[in-house]
Amino acid sequence: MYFKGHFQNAYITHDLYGALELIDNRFGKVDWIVFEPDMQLKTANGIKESSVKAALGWHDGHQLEIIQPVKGYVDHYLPVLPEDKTDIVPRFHHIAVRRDDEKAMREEIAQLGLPVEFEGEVPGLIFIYLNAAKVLGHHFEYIWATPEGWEMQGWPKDRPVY
Amino acid sequence: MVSLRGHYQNGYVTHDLDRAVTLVEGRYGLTGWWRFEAEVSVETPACTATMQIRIASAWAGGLHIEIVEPMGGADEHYRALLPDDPDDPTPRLHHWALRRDDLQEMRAELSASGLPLAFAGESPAMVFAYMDARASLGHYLEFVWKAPGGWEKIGWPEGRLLL
Repeated sequence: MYFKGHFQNAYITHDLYGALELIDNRFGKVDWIVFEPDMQLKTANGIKESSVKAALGWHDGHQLEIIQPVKGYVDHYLPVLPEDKTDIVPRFHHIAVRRDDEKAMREEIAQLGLPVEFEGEVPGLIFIYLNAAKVLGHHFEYIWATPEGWEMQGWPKDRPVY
Repeated sequence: MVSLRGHYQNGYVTHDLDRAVTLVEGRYGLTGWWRFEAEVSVETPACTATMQIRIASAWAGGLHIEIVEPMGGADEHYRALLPDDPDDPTPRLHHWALRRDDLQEMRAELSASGLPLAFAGESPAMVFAYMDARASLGHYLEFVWKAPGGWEKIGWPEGRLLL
């Protein structure tokens, strides 16, 4: 059941803080977890540097992620961005599913057989982007994390994994 | 103010429902599709209209996936997010659906939402309203109320909380 554990819809924007304001003004303010990581991503062509601004916000049991590509290897985000750089409206990019067993997650990814775009990690959390554009019209992200890693993401207490 | 609580569905549009379902089923192994083809009467800001649609939906864990093929009539809000190439059957995300259990509150919430109404429809069993959230999320939002027993009829997973 590949969709099991869906918890996030994720978007790309030209302007993270402008997009957050847009969403908050329309749907109510949430406590966004904002981070601006400089990452090293594992790709089929080696390690790539990638910098983004990103925010995670929960609306009850569902998480929104908003990402602004900044520099480096951000190629996978660009196709959904509008050409007009003053257009800050977020554009849908991927869904994310939660996994709690890293080995099983990797086996599942191999079984699913979609192209792996890249893999990244921070302490206690691994994320892997698959390109599902030819099946679902968007990307598909697997995330494994330790309990502390999920807590770091603001996972709501007692929110089950469906 | 309108709330994003109650997310349970990602809704997609396609030029070709059968090919889209085959794509998702073939790769993700998602089965148990419920299919529906109908002429639907809807209210738009301008008038009462009808549209023809084909729909397939399935539960994937706690996520309900819906794919809609617009077939004619007042279906422009579905067509708005279709790919330009009519031979491209790949689904494109069109909306989230948000569950509501209090119809009166839902109507009040939508009236105060500030979101433009795309179209809405209702029967004794169900009320739905598509709101145009393209200016804030890039897509539509569907608000759905069902009469008692209605969620069970669409296979709402047992134990799936309304979050």
